[in-house]
Amino acid sequence: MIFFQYLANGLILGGLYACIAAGFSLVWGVLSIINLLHGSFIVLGFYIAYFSYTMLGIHPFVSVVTSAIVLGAIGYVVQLGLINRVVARSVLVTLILTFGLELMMNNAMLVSFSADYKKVLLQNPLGIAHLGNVFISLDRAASTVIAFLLILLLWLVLRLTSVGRAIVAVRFDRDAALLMGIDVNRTYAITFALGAALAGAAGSLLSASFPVAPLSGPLFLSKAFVICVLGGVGSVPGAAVGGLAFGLLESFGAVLFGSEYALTLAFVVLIILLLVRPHGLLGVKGF
Amino acid sequence: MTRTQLFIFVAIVALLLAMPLVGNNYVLRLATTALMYAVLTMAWNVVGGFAGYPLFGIAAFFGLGAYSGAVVQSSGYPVALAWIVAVIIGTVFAIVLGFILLRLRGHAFAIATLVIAEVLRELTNGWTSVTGGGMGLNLPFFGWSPTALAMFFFYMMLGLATVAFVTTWIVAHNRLGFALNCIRQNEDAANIVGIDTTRYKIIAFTIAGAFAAAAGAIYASWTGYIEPSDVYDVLFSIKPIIMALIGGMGTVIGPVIGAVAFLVLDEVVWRNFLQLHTGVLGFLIVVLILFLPSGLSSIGLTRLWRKAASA
Amino acid sequence: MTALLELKNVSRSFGGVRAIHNVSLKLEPGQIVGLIGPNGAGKSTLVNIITGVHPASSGEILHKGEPIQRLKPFQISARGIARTFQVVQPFPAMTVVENVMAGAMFAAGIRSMEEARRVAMEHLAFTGLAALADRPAEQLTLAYRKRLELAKSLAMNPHILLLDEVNAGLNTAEVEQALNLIRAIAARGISIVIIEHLLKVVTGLCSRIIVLHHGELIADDPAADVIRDPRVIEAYLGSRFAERQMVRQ
Repeated sequence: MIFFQYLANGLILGGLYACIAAGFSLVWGVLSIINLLHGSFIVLGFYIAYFSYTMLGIHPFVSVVTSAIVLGAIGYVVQLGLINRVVARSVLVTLILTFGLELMMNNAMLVSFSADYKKVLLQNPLGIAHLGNVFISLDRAASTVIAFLLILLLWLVLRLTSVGRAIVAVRFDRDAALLMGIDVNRTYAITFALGAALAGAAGSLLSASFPVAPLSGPLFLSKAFVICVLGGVGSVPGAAVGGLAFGLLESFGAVLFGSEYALTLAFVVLIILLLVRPHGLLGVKGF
Repeated sequence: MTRTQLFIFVAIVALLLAMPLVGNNYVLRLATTALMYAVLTMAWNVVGGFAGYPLFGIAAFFGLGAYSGAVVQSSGYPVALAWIVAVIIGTVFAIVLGFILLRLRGHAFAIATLVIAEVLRELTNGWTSVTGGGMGLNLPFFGWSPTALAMFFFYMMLGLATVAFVTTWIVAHNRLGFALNCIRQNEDAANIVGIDTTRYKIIAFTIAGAFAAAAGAIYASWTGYIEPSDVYDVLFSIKPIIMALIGGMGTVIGPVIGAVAFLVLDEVVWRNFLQLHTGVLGFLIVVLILFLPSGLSSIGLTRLWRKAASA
Repeated sequence: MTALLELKNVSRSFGGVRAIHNVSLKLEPGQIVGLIGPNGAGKSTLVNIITGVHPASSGEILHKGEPIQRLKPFQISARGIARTFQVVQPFPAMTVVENVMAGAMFAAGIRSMEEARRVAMEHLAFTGLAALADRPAEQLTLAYRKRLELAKSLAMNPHILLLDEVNAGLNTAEVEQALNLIRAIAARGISIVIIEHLLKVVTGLCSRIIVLHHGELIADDPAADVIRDPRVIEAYLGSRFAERQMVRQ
């Protein structure tokens, strides 16, 4: 019976994790850049939701939109102004650049918001549902549903809009896309903005469910890594599958190894994956 | 290497050797730290600069060496033994890890090495019975005066740095270095030309791991107290890369120059921006990266072969 | 008398695709053998399998009677089997002579760097590249890069040389020069297998021609006979021409 509780927990976590990872995966796949800022983007999205609620009474789900817009704008500017200069350079250079930016952003948030953990305490929570012996927090469940909708939205954008198709084209073959007349630089910026927007949205989504501090940034980043590799880098459906898988892994892993080892377990899985099946569960074709 | 680089290097060495005469403990501490980073950067350079494998986890070896040495020392054994054990453990770990990870390239290798350091940190945190876990580990030391201690560790780091330098120089000028150079430029062609790439990569990785572990062991004894989040700090992995980048990845003296230069910058920032320290550091990093010359590859290194072959 | 190189029922599949199927052949010392076949026939794949880049899915490869199908590329190079790449693979930041030194130092096992340089210069002289010794390899034109590839392979001290489309991208004059070089190499006693598209080159150079089609060996005959073999004609030009050939015969 308790198995179903862990299953439910894992699935609900999975949706949020998918949202956390989707933007990161897209940027990695299209720009070939591992964006170390991603974790802090999520944290900023959280703070936007937190302060919107505590100061203005705006529900986190509404903040999802504001966060997406704010983070999207930040992402666009950061990419076009800074990251674009090193997009073609080596792994070393790009990783260190985003590392430096992450140090700056993390420090700024630490100074602005202080280091303690915060969480949104909803005045009117949706409550807890009972499905047999399984307890489900409806707020969390709602977050997960929205998370999946966002991923679906992203996927539709990539499939159906011309901007989205430009992104896919650049992902598969940058030079061919260039020859087709696609403005690769602008596409990069848009992709990065989308990634940041999703990160912000994810941060707002989890504001009512989990306590967050500036320190949480690297944690989210690490999880996003593993999920990406699990699901296949650059693949949005992959992020969804990877997120679910990771949510389940964490839920059941916490039982077996203790929750303090959740991250270690994730990392071990990551290394095994890198060695054995680097394309992830869905592979390169998952787009 | 250019005349300017050589000049700067000689100046640095002279300055370092003059340190004990200054006698000021603060300056000695700074110099010892600079030497430690020089060791880490030289170690990193063998894998990242010569072989071209983006190693993002040298902190794993640093921390492993620190804890190995610390555990042995706090069990009552002499310091020398502690350091030797640390190097041995670091070496063995590097060989095993090398076998597993060196089949990865590019991003995958970078991430995997980064993650290893994190895993080690978590495991060290959890193994409270041996390592003291999150509460850290205290090391006993002989009741020397602060000045004597400062001098002692300065000379120890200087010794290690010298050994590291000589090792790097030898590697750069013989077949191993040539092979690593080939691997960096075209690993498939290197295989075809008869280079046992796996073997040479593992040797490079082991050299890096051994020296990083040694530095960690000395660091642990020097500071007298370590904890996982300290010695496995990702900054110990990142700073050597930046130092190598600014000093020149392709040369033997580049890492030393880069280490000293960056450390001075870092110290200035530390002293002046306490709360914003990491932020300003990040800013520095961003500026450095954006304005680094783009042809930062093997030009310096290849000149060494020419000299060696026509000697 | 054991053949220098022997392939026995070698097959290789990638996923579901059968790249090489049941290929058996023998190479004797002193031969220049042409390896031809339409695009996608598996010629380069076969060379990759022989040199250890891809393992064979099944079958044996014997070098002087000893099995080598499980060996890694660097080990096969050390045994004296060298190859050139269709798309040349130099070490771009190193000079021409350093590129050749790589072959001498590792596959040929010369320990001293000075000795390796000396030997490298000899090979450069042989291939006509001595004047370019200290130029960075990435500055060479295609024809010279192909020659550098040859020089590098020679420095490995091979007795078997597998040439993968050495003439691709060269003009007529350059092709002629390349052919003379290949003849000179063969004259040194090195057995050569040359993958080629230009039939004229193959018939002019080779005593024996092997034909691959869809990964299978469809002919292995003296040069003069191969071009009249109906199966070969069918593979290149289609069955109509093959029938016409059979009627003629």
